Amino acid sequence: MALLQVTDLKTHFFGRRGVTKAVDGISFDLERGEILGIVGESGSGKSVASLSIMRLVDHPGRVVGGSVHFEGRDLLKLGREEMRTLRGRRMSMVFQEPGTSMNPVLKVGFQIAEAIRSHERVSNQEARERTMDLMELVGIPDAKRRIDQYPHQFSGGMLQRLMIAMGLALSPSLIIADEPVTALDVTIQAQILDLLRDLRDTTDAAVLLITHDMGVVAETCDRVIVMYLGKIVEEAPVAELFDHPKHPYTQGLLGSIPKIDEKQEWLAAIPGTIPNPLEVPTGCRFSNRCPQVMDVCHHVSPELQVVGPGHRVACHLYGETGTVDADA
Amino acid sequence: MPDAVMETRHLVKQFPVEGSRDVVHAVSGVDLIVLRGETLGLVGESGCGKTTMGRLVLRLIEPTAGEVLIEGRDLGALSKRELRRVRSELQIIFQNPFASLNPRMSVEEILRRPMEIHLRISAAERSRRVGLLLEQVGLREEHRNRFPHEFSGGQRQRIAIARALAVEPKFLVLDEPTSALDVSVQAQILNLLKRLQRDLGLTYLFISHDLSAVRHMSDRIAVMYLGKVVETSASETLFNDPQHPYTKALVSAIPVTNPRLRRERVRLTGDIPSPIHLPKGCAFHTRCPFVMDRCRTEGPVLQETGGSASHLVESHLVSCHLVDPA
Repeated sequence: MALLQVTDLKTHFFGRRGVTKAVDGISFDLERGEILGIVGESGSGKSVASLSIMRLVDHPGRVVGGSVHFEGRDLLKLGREEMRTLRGRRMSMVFQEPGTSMNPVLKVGFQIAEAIRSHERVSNQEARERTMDLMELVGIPDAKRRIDQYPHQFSGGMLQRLMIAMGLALSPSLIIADEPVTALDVTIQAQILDLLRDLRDTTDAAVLLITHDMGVVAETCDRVIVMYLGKIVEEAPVAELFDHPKHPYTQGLLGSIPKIDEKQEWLAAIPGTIPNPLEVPTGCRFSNRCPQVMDVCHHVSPELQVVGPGHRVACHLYGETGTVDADA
Repeated sequence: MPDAVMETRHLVKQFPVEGSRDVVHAVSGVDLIVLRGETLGLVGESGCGKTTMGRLVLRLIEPTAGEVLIEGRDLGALSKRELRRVRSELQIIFQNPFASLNPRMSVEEILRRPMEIHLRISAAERSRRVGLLLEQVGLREEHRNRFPHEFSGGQRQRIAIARALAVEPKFLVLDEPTSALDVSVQAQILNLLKRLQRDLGLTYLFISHDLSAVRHMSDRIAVMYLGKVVETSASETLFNDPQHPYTKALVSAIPVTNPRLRRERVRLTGDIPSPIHLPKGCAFHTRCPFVMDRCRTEGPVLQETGGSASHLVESHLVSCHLVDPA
C-alpha cells in the first residue's frame, strides 16, 4: 500500500465574490522513498493541495471532500491533537522562505532541539547532540559553533538547510517541500536539490516537491503531476513526461522554457493568460488557451485516462471521456 | 572602432554602511560595451552588482568613480538639460510590474505622460501614438482607458514595455523583466522583446539571474561575481566553452529540462562572501574548487583567452589565474 493516498481531494475557498475551487478533485499516490513533483503555475492549486494534506488550510478555505490516507489512516478524520502529533513526527514541511519560518531571537540549535523535545522525552544534552548530527547531515559546516548562532547569521541557503534539518529531526516518512529553492541563487539551488535527493537515498523518506520550475522537476523528481486551475491534467514518470508530454498545457509549459542545449529563435509560448479563478472556463479548464481546442472541450470536462505505463492525461485528444459540465 | 551605444569605463559604486566607516563594494571597476542592435546579457547571483550596474548605466544613481558613455558622450559631463534629453533615449523595464505602474493612472495616461515630457508632438498625435504602442505590445484599443489593477502580471509588463517605447528610445535596460511572471507568460514577454528589438532596431542590456533566459535573449554575455566581471564572450561560447570556474559552476547548476541529462555538477561549497569585506586576491577564491596559492593574494585581470580577437564580438575575456599564461 502506498505511503500517501490522496483520493478526490477538494479544497474550496469561500470568498465574498464567490467560491474558488482551488483544488477540485485530485487523486494520486506517493510511495515510500519516492520523490513526486507537483508542478503548476499560479492558481494551479499545487500549494493548497499540499496544505490540505497537512491540514493547514485556513479560513476562508476548507477541505470539502475526499480523503488523505497516510500510513493507513485518513488524515481528514483525525482530531486536532492527533494531527499535531503526526505533523513533525511522521510528516514535515519545508517552505519557500526559510528566513520567515524561524524565530529570529532564538538560537538555531535551540529551535531544532525544541522540535525534538516537543515530540520525544529526551534530555537537553541528547537533544543537543542530535541537533548537531542533523546539522552535519544537511551539510552545515562548523556545526559545533553554528549551533549557538542566531538565524540572521545564516545565509538563505544555510537557513534552508536548517529548515530541512528541523524537518528531519524526528525521521518523518514524508517531507512536503513547497518551492524549497525558489528564493535561492542557482548555485545554492543545486546544492539543496542534491541534498534532498541524498536524504531520500539515506533515510528512505518520501518527498512531495511542489514547484513551478520544470527544470527542478527534471533534476530531482521520479514522477510528476501537472496541475492547472485545481485539476491534475497529466501524470507520468519524469523521463516519460519530458519525452512524450501529452497534454497541450504540458507541451506548452515545456515549450515556454528556453532550452539550454539548443538555440531557438522563438519560444513556443502558450497564448493568453491564466483565467481569474472565479471565471474558470466550462468544460476543459484549458480550453480557452488550448491551440488544439475542439468543440467537445467547451462543455465536457475531460477525465484522467491511462495512455501508457504510469502515464495518465486528462484531454479529449486521447479519446473522449468525462462529464458534461453542469454550467455548459 | 566598434559602434557602441553604451560603454562603461572602470565603473565603481560603493554604498556607505550606516553607523560604520565600512562600505558595500557593489560594483568594483567594470568595463562593458554594448554594440548597436545587440543584446548584452549581464548575469550573476544576488549581490553580484548586476542591478546596481543597470541603475548606474541610466544614471539613476551616481557612480563613485568611472564613466558611463552613451553614444560616446560621458553622462557625468552633461548639464542637467542635456542629461534629460539623453534620458529619453534610455529606458528601463523593471522586474515587478505591480510596483512600477501608477495605480491611479489609466493606461492612456501612463503612456502619454513620457511623451508630454520628452516629445514635441500635438495632443492628437500623442493619442494616435498610444494606439500604435498598444498594438505594438499586443494589447488592444479597448485597454486604453483601463487601470493597472485590471490587468494580469504579463499584461502589466506589456504596459511597462509600451511606456518605455513611448519616447522612442534607442537603448533599454531590462532588469529581470520576466522573473515575476508565470512560465507560460514569461515566454510571451521574451518573444515580444525580441520582436520589438528586430522591428525597432533596439539595443538591450538584459540583466537576469536566469541563465536560460539570458542565453535565449543575448548575443554576448558578461558574468559578474562580487562587483566584477569574471568572464565575457559570445553567448554560445559562454555556454559551450566556459573558462572561469564560477561560470562553469553557474552553467552546470542550471536545472536542465531533460531528466536524462542529470549531470555531475561543478559543485561550489560555501556562500557568496560579504560585499563589505571582500576576500583578498581573487574574490572567488573562497569558493573556487581550483584555488591556488597565488589566488589568495593576487587579483586576476580580465584578459583575452586563446589569442587576440579581431572584433569585440569574437572576444572571450576571462579573469582567472588558471587561464593566465603568466
